[in-house]
Amino acid sequence: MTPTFRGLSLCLAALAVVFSPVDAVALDDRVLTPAAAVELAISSAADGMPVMIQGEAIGEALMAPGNMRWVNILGGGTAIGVVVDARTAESIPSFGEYRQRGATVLVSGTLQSACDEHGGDLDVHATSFRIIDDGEAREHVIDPAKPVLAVGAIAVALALAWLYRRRRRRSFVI
Amino acid sequence: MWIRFSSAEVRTIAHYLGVLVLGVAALMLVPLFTALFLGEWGPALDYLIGASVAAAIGVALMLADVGRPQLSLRQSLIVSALAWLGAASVGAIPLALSGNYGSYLDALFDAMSGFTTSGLTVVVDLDHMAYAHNMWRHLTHLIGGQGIIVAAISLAVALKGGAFSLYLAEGRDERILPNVLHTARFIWFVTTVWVVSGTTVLSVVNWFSGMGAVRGLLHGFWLTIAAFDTGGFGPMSQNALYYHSPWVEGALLVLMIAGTFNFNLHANLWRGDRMEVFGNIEARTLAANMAICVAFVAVSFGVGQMFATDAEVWRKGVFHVISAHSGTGHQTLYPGQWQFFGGTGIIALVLAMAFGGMVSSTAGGIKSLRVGLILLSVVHSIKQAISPPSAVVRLRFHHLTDRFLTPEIVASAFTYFALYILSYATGGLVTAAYGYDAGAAIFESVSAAANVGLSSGITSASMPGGLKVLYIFQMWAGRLEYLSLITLILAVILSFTRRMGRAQS
Repeated sequence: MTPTFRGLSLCLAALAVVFSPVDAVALDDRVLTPAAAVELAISSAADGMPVMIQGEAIGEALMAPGNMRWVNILGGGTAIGVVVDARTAESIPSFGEYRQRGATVLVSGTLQSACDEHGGDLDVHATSFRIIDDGEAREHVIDPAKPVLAVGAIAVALALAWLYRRRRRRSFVI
Repeated sequence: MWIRFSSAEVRTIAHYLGVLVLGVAALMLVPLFTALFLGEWGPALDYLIGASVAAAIGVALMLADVGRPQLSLRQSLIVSALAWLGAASVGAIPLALSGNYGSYLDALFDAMSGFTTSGLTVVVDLDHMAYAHNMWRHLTHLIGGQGIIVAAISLAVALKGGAFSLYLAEGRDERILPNVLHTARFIWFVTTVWVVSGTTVLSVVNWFSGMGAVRGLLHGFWLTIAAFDTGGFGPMSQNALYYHSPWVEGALLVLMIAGTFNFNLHANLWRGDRMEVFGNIEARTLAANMAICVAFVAVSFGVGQMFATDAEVWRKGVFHVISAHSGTGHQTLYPGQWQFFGGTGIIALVLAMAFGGMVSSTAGGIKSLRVGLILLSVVHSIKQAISPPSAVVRLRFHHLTDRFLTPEIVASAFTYFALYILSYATGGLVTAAYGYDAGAAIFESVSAAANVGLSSGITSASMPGGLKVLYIFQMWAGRLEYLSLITLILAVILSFTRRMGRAQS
């Protein structure tokens, strides 16, 4: 690779990191997206590796054994289960769903490729947990073409139904 | 000699296809009301558009013949084949409008996967999907699992002229009750009992786990129908792993096993005849296959040491073998983790997917009855070989009644076996030709053609369009068990050659 090409690729890589918020494979040298953490767990096939992951808390906090909670964290198109204590889970201000982008959280912990404690699940046992942002309501703007399309489709369906009824009556008369 | 379809017959086929498409339009009212109830206005519009377009297409097809004619078995095979394609095509409309699919093809992929109870998905950002869209995705499992035709017959929706032939054409060669309408209604009765029980148990588990009232109930309902109808969709991107719960996985195991049972066996159990389950060749073959596959997976886990504890053998080994064998496809692993199963474990899973569940159930694959009959024919051949030349060897088997193994029965089992193997191999070859690893290619092809839904990671929104079309075709063909589809293809080819012949003369 020529120096010019190498320089250009480095610039493009830097731009990609700056302009992609949580979907980049690695957020910086130490922080991984859940997708990258899952890949790492599968390739290393080892339990107990220390990691830092950042992503969006989704769904809700679910019961885990021993006054712990499962918080599923999404990033890079993949979600991973993180085990946190109940008090930490209660501090999460919002979880992602249709109407809500959940809180972005930064988790430090140990990555388990097949956790013996949790039935072989690939998970992260959190040692520290920080809320980066509280999340926000997701806006769903309705495409103005959709109501028009709906009215048009209903009109066509009703017209065809009327035509069917008429033809059926005629066929019985004949 | 092949008999070609006349234009009157084509109009009859179009009429009945229109009735079924109209039925799909009516079903879209469920997600529409879900959206209205939960204040999801955008998705409500998606279902208003979807239902109206489907209704318009359905009525337009019905206009082809307004006299409500009788259907022959041959016509029924075509209607049955086209019904699944028609249902998926219109069922994909609201999904395509949802914003969770990259294109109409992707939405069609999921709709076909839903109706055929496959469970493979190319959805994007599932964790932020509207409840109404999740309701529709899972409802396609419920309708497809019982059979689109069965659904229509049980509601007696204008199918009086061809109910029985349509029932046979949908790949259900066994009647549970003397009347086909009663049979269809019994199938729905069994389903209702299981769905209500499963939803109750899973909702309670979800509420105790920390889910809200409505969300816990909806997740309970969706998980239940995805498991009992051996579909495999999940409302979250992690599928069953999202819940991290042995209770949820245990309930899903029971529902998956119930879903893979022949509805005739459900009827026997309902009548109190438990011995039928123990004596039935199909149930015995399925139990033996499952036990062998679990044993191989357990041994492989022992060698690999990744899933070495008893809990891991149950929650990763047994769960995925049952998920594969029943054709469900619920998964508590990331696709890359299949490597932890080892070569032996993977082969056991592929065989479990390929063999499938029981006939007249919601499961796909070759089916245990056929596998059992083929094994019995091997025993017959061996006995014949070691007997004196003058001896006549006859073997009996029990499947609902006592029967003798005849060459016709064996030939039928081998025909279906060959068609499935051909489909698995062709799909695997084409997938590998796209540059994927051979093992992963076979895994995915078997999963699609046997309507399972476990994924080696190939199926995603970013996979090539050609593969999406291939898997749509495999899911469709696998659900129809090939016979209806072959009839449809022959009918199209013959009508085309006739036109060519006319043009030349």
